[in-house]
Amino acid sequence: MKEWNDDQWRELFDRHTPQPRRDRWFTRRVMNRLPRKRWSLETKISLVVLVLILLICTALCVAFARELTANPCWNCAGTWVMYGALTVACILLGAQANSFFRSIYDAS
Amino acid sequence: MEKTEDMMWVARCALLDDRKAFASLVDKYQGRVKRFFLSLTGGDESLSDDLAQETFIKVYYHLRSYKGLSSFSTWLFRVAYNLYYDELRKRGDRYFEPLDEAATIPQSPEPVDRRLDMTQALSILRPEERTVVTLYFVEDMAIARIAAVTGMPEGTVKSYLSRAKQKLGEYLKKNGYERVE
Repeated sequence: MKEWNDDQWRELFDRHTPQPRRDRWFTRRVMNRLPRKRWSLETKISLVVLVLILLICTALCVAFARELTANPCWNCAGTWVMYGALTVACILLGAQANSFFRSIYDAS
Repeated sequence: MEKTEDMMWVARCALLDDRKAFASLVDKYQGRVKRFFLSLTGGDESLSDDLAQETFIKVYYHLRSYKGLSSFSTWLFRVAYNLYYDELRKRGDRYFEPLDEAATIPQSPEPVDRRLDMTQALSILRPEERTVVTLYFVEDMAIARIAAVTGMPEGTVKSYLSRAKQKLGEYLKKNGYERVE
């Protein structure tokens, strides 16, 4: 019997080896068996910054409220400076909260 | 390019525990790993699926031990190969015992070319021969790479390959399959 060469063997295997069925849930099943994801360093830092900004916002709100109660003066520059600082702090808080929850979502 | 993509995903998984990167690796290699196990288990789809899943779980847990000295796919197949032999030892070798070489292609009115299933034909080989033939002809790996996957010397790989080709050739001839057109 004439010996087959390697290319002929390959062709034989190509033609007569059944391919596994495409299983679109295979990856999902593997991922479900992995351990729960720990928070990354990035997420932990994000959480610390979020808490800090929250504390700063709270402190500014309290200071602003006290100041306004004690010396209500809507024409004073100081009032508007405080109001501006509070607005910026709230925007930063919103941005940081968004970043934090996004990193949690990406991690899952 | 393909190797760069794999290395990028592996790095993201190992350093950042990036699950999306790991899912990309699973998506990319699931077909090849399942096909590898199908050939080794004689077409047992359920067992092949279980072994393929176990392979990727093991890869996830041991990703940090991948040093990058070989390609990721070589390392992946090494994990799969070791898992196969663990399963072999657990089942006491009886499940994967080679079929009697007198086994034939199932009879039917169809021509032998249509009835031939190489996965079944591989069942007449010993597990080591089956592994080497699968990696060489189905996964198209070079001898050196097969040696890296199996941990066998290259000479042993060539010896198993030669023996396997001889056995398969006799099996096919016995069943009326003389040559590839």
